[in-house]
Amino acid sequence: MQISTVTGQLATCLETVEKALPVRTTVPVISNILLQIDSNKLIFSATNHEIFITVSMDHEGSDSGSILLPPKIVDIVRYFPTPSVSIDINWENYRLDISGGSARFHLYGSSSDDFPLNSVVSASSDETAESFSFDLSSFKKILKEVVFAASTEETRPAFNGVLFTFKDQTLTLTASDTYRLVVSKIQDESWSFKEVRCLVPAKALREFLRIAGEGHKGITVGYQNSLLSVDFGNIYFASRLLEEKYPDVSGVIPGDYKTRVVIERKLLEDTISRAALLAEGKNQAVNIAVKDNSFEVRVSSQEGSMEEYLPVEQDGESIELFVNSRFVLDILKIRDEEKIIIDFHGEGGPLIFRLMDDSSYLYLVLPIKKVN
Amino acid sequence: MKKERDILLCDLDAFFASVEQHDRPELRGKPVIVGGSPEGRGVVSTCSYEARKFGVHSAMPMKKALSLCPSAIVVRGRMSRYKEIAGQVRQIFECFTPDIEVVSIDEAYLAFPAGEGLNAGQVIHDHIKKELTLPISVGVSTNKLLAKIACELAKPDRVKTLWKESVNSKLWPLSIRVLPGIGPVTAEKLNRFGIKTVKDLAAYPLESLSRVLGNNASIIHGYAHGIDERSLEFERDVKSISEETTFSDDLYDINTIYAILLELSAGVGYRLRFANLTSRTITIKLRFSDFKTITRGKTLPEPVDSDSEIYKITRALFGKHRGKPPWRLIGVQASGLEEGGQLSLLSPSETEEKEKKLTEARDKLHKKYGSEVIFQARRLKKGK
Amino acid sequence: MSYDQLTGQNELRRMLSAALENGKLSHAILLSGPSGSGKTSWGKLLSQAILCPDHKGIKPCMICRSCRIFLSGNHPEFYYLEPEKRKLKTKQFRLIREHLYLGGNTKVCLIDQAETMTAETSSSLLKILEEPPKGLTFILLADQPGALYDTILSRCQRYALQPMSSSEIYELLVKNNKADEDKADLLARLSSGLPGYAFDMADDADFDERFREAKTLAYNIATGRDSAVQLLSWAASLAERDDLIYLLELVALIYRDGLMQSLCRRGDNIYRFEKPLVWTETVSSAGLEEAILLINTTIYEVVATNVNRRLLLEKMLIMLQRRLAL
Repeated sequence: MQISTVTGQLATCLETVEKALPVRTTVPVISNILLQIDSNKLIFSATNHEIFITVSMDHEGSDSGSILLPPKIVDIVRYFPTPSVSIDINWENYRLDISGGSARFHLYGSSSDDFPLNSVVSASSDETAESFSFDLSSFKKILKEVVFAASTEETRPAFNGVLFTFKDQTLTLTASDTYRLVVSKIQDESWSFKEVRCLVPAKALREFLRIAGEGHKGITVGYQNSLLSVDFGNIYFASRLLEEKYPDVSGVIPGDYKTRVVIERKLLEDTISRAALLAEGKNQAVNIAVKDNSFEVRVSSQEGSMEEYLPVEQDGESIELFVNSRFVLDILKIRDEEKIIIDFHGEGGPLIFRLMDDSSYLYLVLPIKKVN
Repeated sequence: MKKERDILLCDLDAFFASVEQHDRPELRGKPVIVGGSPEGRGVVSTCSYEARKFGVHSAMPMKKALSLCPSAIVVRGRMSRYKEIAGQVRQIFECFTPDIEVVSIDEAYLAFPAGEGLNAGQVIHDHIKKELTLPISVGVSTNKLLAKIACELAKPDRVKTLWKESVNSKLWPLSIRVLPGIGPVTAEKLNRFGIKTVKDLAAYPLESLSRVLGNNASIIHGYAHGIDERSLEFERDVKSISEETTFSDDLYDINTIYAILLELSAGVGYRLRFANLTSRTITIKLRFSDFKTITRGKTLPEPVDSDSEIYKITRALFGKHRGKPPWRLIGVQASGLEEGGQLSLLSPSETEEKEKKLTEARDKLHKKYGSEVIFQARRLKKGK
Repeated sequence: MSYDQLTGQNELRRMLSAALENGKLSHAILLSGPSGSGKTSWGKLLSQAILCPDHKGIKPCMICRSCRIFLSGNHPEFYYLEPEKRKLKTKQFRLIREHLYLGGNTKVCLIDQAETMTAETSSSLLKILEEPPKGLTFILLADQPGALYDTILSRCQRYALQPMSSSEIYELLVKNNKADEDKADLLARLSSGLPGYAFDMADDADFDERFREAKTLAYNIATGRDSAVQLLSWAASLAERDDLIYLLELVALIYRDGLMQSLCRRGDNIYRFEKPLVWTETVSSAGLEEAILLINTTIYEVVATNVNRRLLLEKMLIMLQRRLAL
């Protein structure tokens, strides 16, 4: 059969599924891209067995069938010289002839029988399944505000994930690397979730953010059968879940603050960025002191020292502590609010970053214990 | 300008044995040996003065000790009790001076303003006799070396001084072995040059001595003249965290060493994290079967506290300095400690850590391969 | 190798089947047995059975999708690790580690030559064994289970492969079309009860040639028909050969066969072969035993030390002749 299509459009599809190809694998079949053809669609799929990406594009044709494409095809199409390309598939021997203008490639595909498609897309019904509709760019923003805090170290597998907790009208996202913690809540009155928790590998979510593209459009986020999936029109993304138990972190968030400041986010970001120039070592420590409506940032290291003051609205007692400047910058950079609240809970207690008039988000950082 | 001070060395005589005799009156006046079991590689840890009369001394194999002194009462050591008593002794010291360098469980240097040493030594001696009924020897002088030698002269259970003025009469007649830094090997070397007593050493020209002793020559020459520049190292904070293991049998297998290093690294790492410290210098200690002991360290650009990082460094150090097997002891030390750990949401759950230590300790003896069978066909593969 | 082709090991088959049927199979299995005893084949069979939804005991159905992709090497939930450059490194383990924590499916991780794990790999494995993810079974294969950490051993259900009888190996070779009947007979005798070696020899294109040489060498030494000068020239030419070890091992196997013959002649007649591989009637069993040990020592010295091969071989040949030919 023959497929004729616009080269650019085909290349975009292939480049998107390519993101799911494994870097290295002992399972030969999954280093290929699955192409399924039906009467009006071309469906490309790839998996590294952690995430799964399917992209479909419209296509006029009458034939149907499926074949595994060798990964080389991505670059062949990407660098193809003509604006349109045609692909001939010989179903007898899985040979592919790719041609356009004077360029002509022969590739050897293979049978798709062994491709582990149904281990990912399971048709069986799942009692705990949940799904909801959302706007793509809002969902991306929410994910970005959470994923950065998940651990990339391998000592505790649970912290490599972002916890999705569905309950009633709320989806709560939690991420932590044991030194800091983000809790973000999304609410919608039309929702009525059963109580379900699922742990999604942060790595998979980062990959999702990379392929999701820009712009507003409706998406469906779903959970079923040990998969979290995001369906946005022609792209379907799914991630398998971590089977680990996520520790209960609710206990580490203290109730009342001892000191609260309201501070200009951008000013603080710039100040901490300057301080970080001198911060050193693994902990990148900066000294923060709050007293008399002044927010003082100091660093003293082998290379030199700095200090800077910012005016703040202070409520509560004076405080002084050390904190990792990177952890503070992470939150200041990812938020775009004008002002931000920082709650202190004594010298050894956490700092909690909150939004003005909005309790849906909090970022907690534990200080560095330092006695000088 | 260094202040002139009096330095005391206080040494609890036959400490472990004395504690046993203190706790169990029926042992008083009898030869008591604290140490390992007579089977295997048990050695005498401490013995009472009554046992010493039979020629028993510490580090002697238990078997030999019992053949010398069959009537000796052998007691298993109770380290926790000794530490408790040592703590009480320490408290008494602290009543007299804050400047204390603890050398070991039964030995400490104390510093006093010049002129007060002898009196203080006498008072401390009597105090410990009265409060704890433990024998203690006190050497009084103006530096560590002379205090140490004075203490040797004071044994048992007395207070002695050795001032600079008496170096000629008291120090010079002694064997060079009394000086720190002169072990049996160095002594042997020096003996060949006719240097037997401290006086011989003091009279020997420094330049010629350098050829024998290398860099240490001037320091040791100084010792021979009663000069010792070492200052007291006060233990204000913990300076290092270390763990070590002596093997019951000499070890030949590198994999076993790696397993033990991993365990020691985990132990040190755990204690670092528990105390919220990081370390800039990781050192391994290695003892060979001839008792030669080396320590080799590495100072790091970034302080560490994780087991795997410590293990990586110790393993590399071992690889570089492992010398010839067998090995008899291996240790891991973290120093250059910095306070200031990033606090974690999960305080290391103690049961979990304990369990981890337990399991890893059980791995200590990564067992050896089975013996060769009459025909081992495993090599029968092409191309090998 | 499929279930039907894996003959023998009836005890193991029975125990594993029972454990699988009763849900008593632990999440960590250790299969031990000497190199060549069939651990990898059995480990893979067990893996396939665990993954197959329709298995009967240790017998996979062979027709379901899981079995099909398992046999084509494409089962995504089958993780196979074997040493790289003689060690199982953490790096290898780390590649699959995070997948083991993904939920949803039955997973098997087969670790071949588990005793080659580095201390770090062992310790990573131990962490997973302590809190195993749901649905994951580890199968460890080891020649020397004693070389594994105690803490790993204590978490494993242990099974041992038994040496197979010559007739079982004969059957195995014939069934798998590895050799014709005559050669199968020979290989079965030479294999020391280890099917893996029988297969290796069967796959070796030069086997017949090498075996002929080994036989000549064994025979000449045992009968003392070579003069001292001839022995020395043997040593010189052997020392140059790439396949020296292989050849020496064959000679040792031939003597081992002779030893079996001479022992069985005296006692019960279990041994099913009539004709010895070489004529060794004049040789005492003690002499053969010494000869085998001597060859093994030489092999060890060639492999492990830098001693001049030729000198080693001269010494070996002269001593062999003295032991055997007098």
